[in-house]
Amino acid sequence: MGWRVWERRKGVAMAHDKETAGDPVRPLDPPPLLRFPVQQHQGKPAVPVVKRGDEVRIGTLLARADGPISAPVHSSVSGKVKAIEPVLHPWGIWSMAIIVENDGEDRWEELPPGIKDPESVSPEVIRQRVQEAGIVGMGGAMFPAAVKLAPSTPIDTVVINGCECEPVLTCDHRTMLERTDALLYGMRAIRHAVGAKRVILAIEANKGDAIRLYRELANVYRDFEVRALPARYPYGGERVLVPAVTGRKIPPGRYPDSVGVVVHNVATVAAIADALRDGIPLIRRPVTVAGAAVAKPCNLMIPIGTPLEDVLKAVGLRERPREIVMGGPMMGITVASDDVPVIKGTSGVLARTEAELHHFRESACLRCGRCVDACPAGLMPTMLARLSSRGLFDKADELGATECMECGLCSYVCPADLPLTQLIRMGKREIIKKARAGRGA
Amino acid sequence: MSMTTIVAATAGMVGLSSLLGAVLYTMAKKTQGDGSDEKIELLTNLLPGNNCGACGMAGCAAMAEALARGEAVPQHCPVATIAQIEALSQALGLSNGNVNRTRRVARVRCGGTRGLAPRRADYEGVLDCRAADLVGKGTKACVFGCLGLGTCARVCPFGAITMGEDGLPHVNENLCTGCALCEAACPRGVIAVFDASQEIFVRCVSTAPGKQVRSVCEVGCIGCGICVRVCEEGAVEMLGHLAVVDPDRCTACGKCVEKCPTDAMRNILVDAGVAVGVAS
Repeated sequence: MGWRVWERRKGVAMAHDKETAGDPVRPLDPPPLLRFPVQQHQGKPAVPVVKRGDEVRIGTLLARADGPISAPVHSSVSGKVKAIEPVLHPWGIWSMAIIVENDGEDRWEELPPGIKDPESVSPEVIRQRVQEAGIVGMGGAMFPAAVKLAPSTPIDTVVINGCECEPVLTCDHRTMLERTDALLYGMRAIRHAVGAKRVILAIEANKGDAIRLYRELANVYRDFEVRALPARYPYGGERVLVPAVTGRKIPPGRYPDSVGVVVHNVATVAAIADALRDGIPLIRRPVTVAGAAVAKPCNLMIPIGTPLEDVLKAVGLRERPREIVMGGPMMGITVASDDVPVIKGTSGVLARTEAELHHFRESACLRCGRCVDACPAGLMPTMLARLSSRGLFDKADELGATECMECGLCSYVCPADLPLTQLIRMGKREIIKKARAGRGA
Repeated sequence: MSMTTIVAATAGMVGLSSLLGAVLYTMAKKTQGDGSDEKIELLTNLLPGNNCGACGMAGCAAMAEALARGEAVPQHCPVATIAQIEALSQALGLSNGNVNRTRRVARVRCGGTRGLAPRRADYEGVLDCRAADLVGKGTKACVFGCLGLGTCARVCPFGAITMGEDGLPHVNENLCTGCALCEAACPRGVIAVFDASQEIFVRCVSTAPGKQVRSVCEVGCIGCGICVRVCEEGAVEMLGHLAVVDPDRCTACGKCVEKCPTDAMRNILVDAGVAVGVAS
């Protein structure tokens, strides 16, 4: 009998706080005024194709994709284009946006015909429909989904990411429970589009009902597998997820396609199904609205472009939030104002009170190594942060700072309460800036 | 112990030490025979001695070695004065005929003080502009202007930059050497290095349309273009919604400064209390 070496479990088990897991997704009525930023994806901003005063309907193209790494933007309401001007974007930038006045009549644009069976059309048709529907990675990264459906290297495995490892968020969990048919359809479509042999749906162990449901379905349909993963953060990050599910390590600086894998989030899969089966572009998305300032945390199907102000008004506030976060509590970004609209990558809206905030009380590093143990990328956060804070970005680069996925665990576990993640993030940006300048020169 | 043992030991030690001494002497002669160490030391002393690294090397000693090896010329030191470059050229036996160095200094292109450019949120976290810029573009309502956390002041090896009570950096031009380390560190390009002789500046880097600038700052450039129209030399250009002064054409007549509706166009020498025309 030999020894079997187990891979150490990655990440950290933390309180899940998923109190909205039993709360079905309710549709949110669109507000009177919506803002559609042209930048709701990674890549080049979309180019507006409507002008002030134009009539639009639900699903009308507002801005077209500019080049292959880009995504179009569609209206989620019917009404009139009020203006095209820069608005505050969740990323803090001012982004050009199409502002639409909702006439409340819910008239639909003529949609492209539905495809009953995704395997009856060519992969090229699927890619094109997904591209035209403006679908991006809805887990938060917002990378155009059609690009991942046109792999440059052979793909044998599709991993569907139903981990939802961020605490608090439950919209992916609800999507899995409520949109079973869309997921089954979408998984078939993606497998067909990339020509993969296997489809693996990865779900964290804290979602027992979803695991049981899809195991039963997998027994019936036999065209996908279900893999339960430890309920530890950040198993939903693809650099942790892909090795855990397939046993293949992603080389530094590369993406999952380099090991024959493509990863799609469950919300993205459902959106792909909507686009192919019903011709509906990406105009709404499930969002978990939570935080102590919210009267009743819930899951909402929110029309893209709805300002946060209207979302929070609709769910009711207990008190004025001290901080509004878009995304989950670990990786979400704090927004500077409640003017910003819900965009395609918004998985959560957290309105937090003073009591929920973390005020860093920095003290000296204890050299305890907890950040090193916790880092899912296998880095030394304390060293990287120290080098960054001293401006020694070249040394931080040598120690692999660019491999950091900014999951936030190092700051989370640090007993000295050091803002390690933010320092590493700063270092990463300076390294990338320098590399770009070097290439340009 | 007999006498012979003592004599033998003494003689042995004397013999060994003279042998080693001879080896050391020849080695020393061989390695420093060309006097390059003294030359590097001399060059190091002639360099400004701030070890700022603005030349791209580890410090003045590293630069001196590069000079001695002929891999660099004195002009590669961006902070040396004309006199220092001439002295270095002389020491290296280079002609110093083409030293035409214009003095360059750092200038702050943002007038958004605490009172004039409001903040939109509180910020807690790493007190470094480069880190704050990554958190929703910082706390100032204007996403182009100075973040005010003093990264430029901290990277300045000459102590030429201080953060004022108004939330903006202030450059002491007597200490500034134009090394541009602040320019490299500023995440927004607010502080940048210019010819010291340039008087007229647009004290704003916001490329946003006027309506948006007005909503976040009282002294930002709104892109109205009045400066372009009043300039008789054609020295002001509009770059999107931002006016830019061409220093080669500008005569510092001051017409644009006078007409600018938001006070974004400034004469830096007048601001500093220097009479126009005295400084060259």
